[in-house]
Amino acid sequence: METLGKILVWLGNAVAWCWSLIGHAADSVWGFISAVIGPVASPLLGWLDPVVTILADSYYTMFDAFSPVVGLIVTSGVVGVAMLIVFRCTSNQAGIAKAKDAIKAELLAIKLYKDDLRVMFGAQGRLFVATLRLQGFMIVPMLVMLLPMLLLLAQMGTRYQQRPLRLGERTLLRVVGDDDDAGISGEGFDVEVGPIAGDGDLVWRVRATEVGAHTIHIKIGDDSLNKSLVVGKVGQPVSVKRPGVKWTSRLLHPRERPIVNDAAVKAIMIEYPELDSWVCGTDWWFLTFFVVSMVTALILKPVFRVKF
Amino acid sequence: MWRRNRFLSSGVLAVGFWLLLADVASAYVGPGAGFAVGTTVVVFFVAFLSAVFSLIFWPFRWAIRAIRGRRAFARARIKRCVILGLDGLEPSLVEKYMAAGELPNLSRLAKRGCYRKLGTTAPPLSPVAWSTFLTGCNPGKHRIFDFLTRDKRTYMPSLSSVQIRGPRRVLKLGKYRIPLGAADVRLLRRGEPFWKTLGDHGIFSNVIRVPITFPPEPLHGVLLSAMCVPDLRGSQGTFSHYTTRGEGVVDDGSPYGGTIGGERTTVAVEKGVVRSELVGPEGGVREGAGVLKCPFEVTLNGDGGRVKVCGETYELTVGEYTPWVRVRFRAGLGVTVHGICQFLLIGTEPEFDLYVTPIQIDPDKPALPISHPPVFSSYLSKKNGLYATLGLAEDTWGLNAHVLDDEAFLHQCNEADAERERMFFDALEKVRRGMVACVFDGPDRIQHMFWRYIDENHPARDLYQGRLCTDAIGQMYRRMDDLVGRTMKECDDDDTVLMVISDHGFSPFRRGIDLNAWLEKNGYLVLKDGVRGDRYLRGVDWSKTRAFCLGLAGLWLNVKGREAEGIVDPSEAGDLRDEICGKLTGLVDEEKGEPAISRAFNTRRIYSGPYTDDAPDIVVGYHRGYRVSWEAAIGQTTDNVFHDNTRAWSGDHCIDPKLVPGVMFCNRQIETDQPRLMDIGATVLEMFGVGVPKRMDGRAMRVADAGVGDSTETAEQKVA
Repeated sequence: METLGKILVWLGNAVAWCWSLIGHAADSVWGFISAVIGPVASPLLGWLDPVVTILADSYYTMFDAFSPVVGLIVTSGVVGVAMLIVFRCTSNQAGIAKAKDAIKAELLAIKLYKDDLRVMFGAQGRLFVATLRLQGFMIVPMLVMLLPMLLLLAQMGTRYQQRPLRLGERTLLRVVGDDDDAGISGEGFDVEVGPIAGDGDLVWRVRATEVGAHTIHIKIGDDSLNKSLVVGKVGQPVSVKRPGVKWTSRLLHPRERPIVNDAAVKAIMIEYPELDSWVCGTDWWFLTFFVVSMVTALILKPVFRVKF
Repeated sequence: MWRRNRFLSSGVLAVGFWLLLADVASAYVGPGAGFAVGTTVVVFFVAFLSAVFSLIFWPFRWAIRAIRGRRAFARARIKRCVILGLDGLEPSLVEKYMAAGELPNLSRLAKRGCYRKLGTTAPPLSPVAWSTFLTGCNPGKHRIFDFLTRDKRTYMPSLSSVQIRGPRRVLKLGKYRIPLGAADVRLLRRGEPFWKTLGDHGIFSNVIRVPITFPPEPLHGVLLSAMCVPDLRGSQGTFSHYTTRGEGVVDDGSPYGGTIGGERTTVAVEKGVVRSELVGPEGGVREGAGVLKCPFEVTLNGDGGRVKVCGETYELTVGEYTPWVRVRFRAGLGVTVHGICQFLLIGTEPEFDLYVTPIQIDPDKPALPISHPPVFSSYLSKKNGLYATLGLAEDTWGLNAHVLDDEAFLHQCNEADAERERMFFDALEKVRRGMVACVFDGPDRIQHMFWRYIDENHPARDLYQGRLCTDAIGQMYRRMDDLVGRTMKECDDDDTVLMVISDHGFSPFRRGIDLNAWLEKNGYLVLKDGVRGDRYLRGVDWSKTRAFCLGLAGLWLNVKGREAEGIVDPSEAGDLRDEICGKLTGLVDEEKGEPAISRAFNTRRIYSGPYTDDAPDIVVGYHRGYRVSWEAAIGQTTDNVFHDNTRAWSGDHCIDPKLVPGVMFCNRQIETDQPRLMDIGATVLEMFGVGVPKRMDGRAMRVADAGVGDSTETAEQKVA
């Protein structure tokens, strides 16, 4: 038993080491890719974000009369079908079928020839290779779908991650910048406290006084900037952050134009309350989207004759 | 090298992307790719865990087996035994081709170890012979005496090795009949295969397509069934021919157009499109639903076209088979029967002709169990692609009926063997310790159908047209030799014994003997007035008939108390058997002036065991060139005793067993002059150090240890 324990500990350590290695590798790769993609992605997003925002707003008008859950579920289902079709058109279906067969064959080989360790480990090796092949077949459809999906998810995030302020509700406006000479003005809200300078931040506490889409005018140093503020019913899109020029930030916050590179302000954020539904709200909406789109795709997979 | 590099780089790229994308929540890129990425990660994780657990628990499993007394290989002289069965390989042809230097690998094997003629069974029929091989018993103990047997109550023929019935329990809900459970499939063969005994001692077996293993029996190992696996219609292979030819145009001399072998459907070409239906199994869930059908559509396009079936489209080219096509028959209430078939566009002008193979059980979703464990058939299809599952996969009836030409039939044989090769070599790779047995049917089918080309006097020699394959038999022997060569490479170690065997040899089949006509002429069988030529003994007057013929092997007496309308007193049956045997032995075909029957066997004298009474009373040993006639085999009675055989099925082996021994090659010396098929199982058990069970009639042959007595005598000298 002692030997068994040692083996288990050793295996556990090996797995942890592998996992850590994978994490570091992922970080490095991500950093590299980000640096490469940035110069291209930023102007591209500058062109795409307004278009996609208009399209998304138009699409969501049909759900104005319903709970946000309806829009989320319908959108997830539609996306499931759309992605299914795109996947079918862009993937090597024959190759995927072959790779899947190989995976199943090796899994069955492990079951059928379990008494022979040599065969079993051989099957493990081939299983690994077949798995990599299957992953390889995912590259093209993933590349095709990556950008539309990211744009779509970002738009959905503005609707289902947080909700607008309610009348009388308070929140914090945070401006990332170094200049202490700052002030805000606008309609639909009162400034209760601020600005309070923090670690490179200026923070105001504001209270919603009027329903509607408002603009907060921010004067900081020589710069004048705006930030949207939404007060009203659940389901309206909100922009948590007016991003800087970093492309990843622009990707996640598509509703407002980014702040120019040489401004004293790097970003402006409003802390909207999180949606508190078990379907929507922080991360739940994404899980709902994942499950609904997946289930839809699985159900309709035979109809569209798609293999994945 | 290039392929390897490409593979590696795509693998690295895939891993890179997975790592990259998995790091952010928004990596979810839709259900297709997302699901696939997710599942493969899970698959890999599960497989890794299973490997770890297997490694950890392997010592415990080994210990448990040891405690239970299954100390595999404790007394074994070998680690692995490989039995390569080449159904019907004929010694005289093997020797001829070896002498001509055309079979270098078999010659090498003979030189290295041994070559012998292998004693077969009476009758020398594949189901009988392979049953004897796998049980080590005479037919009186395994109860397989022929392909067919007769129903004692109705005199109708039925398969001798398997009985298939619908599910035992059915839930009746209004007009629906919902089966509760699977079909009732019973193996009628008795006796225990020697691999079961090996398994009892912890020795693993991989058994591929050895005849008379359907339904599959449990064993320590894996098994894929063969002969007698039915098609989806429950028959032993019913092909379909869709044609614009009129009903009256049926090639003469063939049973086609009736109920044996194939079914013709008249179709019409409308604006270049042909629409028809594949015929599947009987019985939907709804009462009185009849046979299930699956529509298909052929769109013609010049010399070819496309066939659309079950939503998938396949290209058709004249003279070329499609790959295996999956088809589904919907029985209702969500019940679907899965099958596979191949399409062959024979011609488009002036007549449309489309051939469809018998619709076979889909190995991936088998309607009936065809392997042990059940997932093994699925494993093989995942590993190597779809494959023929029908017991008699090569459509001999299609060629007999002139629907297929030589080349189309030969293609089926070669493809079936190619599929088998992939399974066989996978088994050799997987099983390094244990027993591997695989039977290739190609030699049997090809010799059955192409013997007319090596027999100048055959009546069917010039009757067939189309793409002819006059050297099919020679090619087949060379192909089998190549297979043996590759097998030898895989068995090139001191711990592996390789045996290459055939269950019987081959002989020309020029003349058929209508034993029912002979019995009638000799007063043993009486027909009802005005009834002649009816199938399945329907015209026989049982109140006056003492003996009858049905099947390929021999004759039955109409015994009182045994047959429904028996008239022969059991006490007189012995004398009657001897009397008929005496008259049949030495029977001469006076038209040709040749002996037609070498000898007839009273089975009560040649068989022993509990099932001897189920055997035909007399087994007929025909002379070379003769066999039971086609008509008598299906219970017809004609006017003449002797008939020319004008079918493509021109070679046979159901004759005197002494005239058609099989062959046995081994990579070790065997000190037995007259080995028998029956002895193989006992020999394998002995080599693995497992005691030979008393029930076996076979005796263990003395097989030399590796490297002992390598022969310096050439194969040609041995042949001489």
